[in-house]
Amino acid sequence: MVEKDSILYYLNNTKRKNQLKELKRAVDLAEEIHHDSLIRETNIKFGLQSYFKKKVKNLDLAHQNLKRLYMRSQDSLALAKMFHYKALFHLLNFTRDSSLYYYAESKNISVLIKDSLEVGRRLLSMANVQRDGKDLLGSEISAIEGLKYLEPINDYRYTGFLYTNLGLLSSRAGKYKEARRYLNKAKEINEKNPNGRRKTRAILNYFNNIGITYINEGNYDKAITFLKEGLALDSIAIKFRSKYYLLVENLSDAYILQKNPEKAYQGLKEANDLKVKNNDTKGLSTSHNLLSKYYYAMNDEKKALYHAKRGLEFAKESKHLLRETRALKLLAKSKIVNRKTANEYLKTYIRLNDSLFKRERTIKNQFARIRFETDKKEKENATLKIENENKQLEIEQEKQQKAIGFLVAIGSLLLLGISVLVFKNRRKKLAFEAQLQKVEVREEERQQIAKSLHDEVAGDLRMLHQQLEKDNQTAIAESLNSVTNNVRNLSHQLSSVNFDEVSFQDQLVNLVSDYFSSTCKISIRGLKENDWSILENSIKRTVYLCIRENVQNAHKHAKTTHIKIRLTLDKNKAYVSIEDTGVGFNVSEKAGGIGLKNQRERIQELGGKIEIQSIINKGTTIQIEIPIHV
Amino acid sequence: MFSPLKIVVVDDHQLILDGIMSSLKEKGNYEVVSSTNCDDAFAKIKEGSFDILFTDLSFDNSSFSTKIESGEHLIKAIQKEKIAIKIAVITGHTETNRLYNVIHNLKPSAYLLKNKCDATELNFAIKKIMNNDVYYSHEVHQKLIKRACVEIQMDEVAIQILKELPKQSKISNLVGVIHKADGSPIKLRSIEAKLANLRIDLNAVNNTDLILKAKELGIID
Repeated sequence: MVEKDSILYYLNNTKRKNQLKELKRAVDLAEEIHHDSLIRETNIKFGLQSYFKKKVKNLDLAHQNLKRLYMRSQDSLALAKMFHYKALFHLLNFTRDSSLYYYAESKNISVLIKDSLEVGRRLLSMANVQRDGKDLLGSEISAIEGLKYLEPINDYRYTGFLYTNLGLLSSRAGKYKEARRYLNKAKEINEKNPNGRRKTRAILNYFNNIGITYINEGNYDKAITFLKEGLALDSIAIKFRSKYYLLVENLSDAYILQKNPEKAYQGLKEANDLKVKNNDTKGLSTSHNLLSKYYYAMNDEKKALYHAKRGLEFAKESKHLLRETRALKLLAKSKIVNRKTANEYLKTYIRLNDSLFKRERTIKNQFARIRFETDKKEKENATLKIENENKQLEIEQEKQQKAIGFLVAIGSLLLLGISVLVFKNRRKKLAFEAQLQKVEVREEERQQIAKSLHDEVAGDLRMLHQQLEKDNQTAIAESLNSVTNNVRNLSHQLSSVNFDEVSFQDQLVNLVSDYFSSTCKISIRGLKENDWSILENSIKRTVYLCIRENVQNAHKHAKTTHIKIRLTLDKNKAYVSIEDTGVGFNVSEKAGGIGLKNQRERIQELGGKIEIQSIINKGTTIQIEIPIHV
Repeated sequence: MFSPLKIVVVDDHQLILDGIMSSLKEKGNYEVVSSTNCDDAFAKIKEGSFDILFTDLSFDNSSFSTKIESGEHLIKAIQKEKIAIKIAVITGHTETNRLYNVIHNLKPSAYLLKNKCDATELNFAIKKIMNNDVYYSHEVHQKLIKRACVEIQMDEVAIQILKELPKQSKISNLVGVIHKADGSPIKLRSIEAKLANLRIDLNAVNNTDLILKAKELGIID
């Protein structure tokens, strides 16, 4: 947190002496803590201040940092700023065409991220660069485009600049009235600016620019009025020194041109003295040129020549070709230098003027080319975008079609699979139902036999028995009685159980109770835990009869102390296991017994299995499984 | 002096019918009517106001024209008509299934077994019946208790209670010791309810008797 706080501290202390150093420190700290938005903010501030201070290296550093940030985070804001600083970098290196190019790039990014203020600002910069490069048409286009972005967001500062630019452009083109209309509009907007200092500066610019339009028009009186009005503003000589010079010098120029040079002197002298004090070479070339002009007007050839020479020196020093030509022109005018030297001056002047003109033309061409290329690029981009979109759409459609095809294929496969399964299941179920029906039929047959045995055979036997008793054949009647009882038992064995009135669970408990004793305990597990009502009656019957048969066997033969019955029911099968700890028997010997045979038959009828394991003197385990549905 | 009790006896065997009649007459002053099939017996019951019915369960002499085939059906028919008559079963059927179903579903006032029955038991049963009590032969009782044993053995909670009860001084100490199959504890009220049911099932007078009977019957070791 301390580090973050110090970054904020560095960022916010823009009034301090070592501001650039501190901003640099803020940049380093931001990089250290890898905080992307802080890195962006610090570098933007650092880059801008570096530009103001003309620190090319620092500006380049800010540019590189932003570039890295963009590469890492794809932050468009950083990319726009990166191009912006590249443009500023070229501006400082006087490679204005490159500068223009990068401004345009930066602007395009800002358009993409819908940052209207940044778009407007870049267009303003472009308009200024274009105006300086004499690409008046380009500058006008940029300015008007800039207004499109800035006016809707109610920006005062840059809108004002754009209108000023349009005014200057019209002024250059000799359309002074139009120029003043633009400048008035700029003033109107600037007056809304809540920032007092900016407002004042804009108004000073306004007076100066309006003055110049009148000077260029030849209306010196009006020019002087406006320039004076500008100079009358409170303490501008201290607060806005460079603007003050400008006004003073333009006023002086107007006086000279008005043929009232004597009024010009004081202002020119004052400006010149101040520039000397501030070592302003560029400014000095202007003021010496003006002084020379003044002395020519005053017919003081000597002093005029002196100042023209000084003007040339300073122009050369500050590498300002335009001022150099102006100085040369003044020198060539001199009547006190010999012919030869004057000719030299004139020749140099013409050569320089030519090269200036040429340079202007090339720059103009370059600008035009850049403008054209940017336009073309934008158009191409638009076309490409549409093409891309179309392609994307096609791909999308193709994808969709493929997906639909795929889905349809899968769907059909699934449907086919399901139908096959349903068909198979249905066949199985039908087969199973047929099997159950068969079982029921056989059960009915058994019932029929049991009933016949009971009603008819046993009934006839009883009548015979009564007959014999009447005839006093007691011995035969007695043996006949035992035959009757046997038949009745057989009938009972055959007769089935049904679970309509008494539930399977209760009947099984009743069955077990009949064999339960303190010497032979029988336990049942899994009876109450499962829902037996879902089972077919034939299955329950088989389970019941099997348990009865095996418990009976165990009770009769096994001499066991414990019989364990375990019932399990799952989705597919019913399982029964009957376990005793009795004497056991030889399974292969007993396999043919009627009880076991009967049992096996009933289970197999239902598609089930029975497994009997018996170890002599250890016990017997019988395991049964019956499929319950499918 | 009360008027003699009116009794109907139904059995398909004339010999047995005669035996029962003589046993009844031997010990008391009853007005007894007999019948060898259920349809006839039902008609008689509907006509005259009888106090008690003694009936067998299975009738071997049924024919195609028989409407009421068994003792169970006869009892159901009487109960359906809401005829005010005490019902006693006297039969040879000792299979738990039949016995339990008759007692459980038809709730007769008495269930006697022919082969063990004598005049004394018969009269004792009549006294009980007329006293609005229920009487079962000893063997029938044994069967019912055995059945209860099998049921109790399937009830994990009951087994736990029976095993733990002798170890505890108070029933409330069982709380937290007894758990359901899913591991959740059982409340005191449920435990007490369960114990009450167990006492009824095993015919025990108190919890100590219950434990003794459970041990005797082999439910717990």
